[in-house]
Amino acid sequence: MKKYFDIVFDGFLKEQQLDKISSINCWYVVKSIKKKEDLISSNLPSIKPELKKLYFLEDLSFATQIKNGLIVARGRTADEVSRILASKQIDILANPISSDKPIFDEECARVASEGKKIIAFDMNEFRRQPYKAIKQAKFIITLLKKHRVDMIFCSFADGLSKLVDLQIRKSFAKELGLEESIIERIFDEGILCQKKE
Amino acid sequence: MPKKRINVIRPTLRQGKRYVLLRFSQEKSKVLDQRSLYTMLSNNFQYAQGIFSLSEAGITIMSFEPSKCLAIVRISDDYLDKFLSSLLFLSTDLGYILVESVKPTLKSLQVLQR
Repeated sequence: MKKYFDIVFDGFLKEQQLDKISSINCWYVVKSIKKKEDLISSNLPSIKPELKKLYFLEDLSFATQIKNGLIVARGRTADEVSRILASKQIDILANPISSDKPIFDEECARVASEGKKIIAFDMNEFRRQPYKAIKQAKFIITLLKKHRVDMIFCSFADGLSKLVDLQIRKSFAKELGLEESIIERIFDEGILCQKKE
Repeated sequence: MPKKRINVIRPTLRQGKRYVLLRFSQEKSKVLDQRSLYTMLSNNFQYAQGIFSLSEAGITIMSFEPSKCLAIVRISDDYLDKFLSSLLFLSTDLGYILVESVKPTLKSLQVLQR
């Protein structure tokens, strides 16, 4: 049986509606690391769907202090994106779409391929700035396909209204030019499990 | 002039349809009626895909239960992915939209709805 996943922020857990969303059977909960105290592990609540922790770095210098678990980071400039992709500790680059000039180019795709990074598209970015986000995403996807870099499409929701359903995410990925075989692979939780190993 | 009988279109030649069961999280959907839901869905589809796609997609609201926040929408098979992807932009109005099921017949969906 396929295990579908989504990534949400820890604030989302307060709404406690995860059990009603039957299409997702594995949730990755993002824990933001802004200061040193955030590194002290806090356990996730034990509710029915499987919850897994994901560290979201605001400051890249904390990357070396996280021993186990997947690490996500978001780059706002081209330099930050290059630093994230070059870092051995960071597994996932979140949201390669910029509100200004593009921050992800062919060189980034090549480095991501060498470092076996995953590029995570934030679905809410397509709501915030649809024209720019779709244009940039189509360009980035072409590069990722060329260099065989894994990509995922996640909600990064902090509330129920920002959550995007699995079927909508899949159809959106298809509209962005991804083939059925790729879609089946990138929405399966196995893509993140492989990364952990 | 003798009346000419129009032949029935064979099932294989008919345009394929898909029936989508949608569930809305927002309380706002409870004050909507079928007509305003249709306007919301078609305007949103037109925004995402254009007026030519809208005319070919054949969006129809088969049933809408505001109390349960459930709706069944019929759409041409060729435009299913375009319709589902357009729902991303609608979510701000209706909260979280859950695509519960997509079936080729209405009957199979109504069984689920019960």
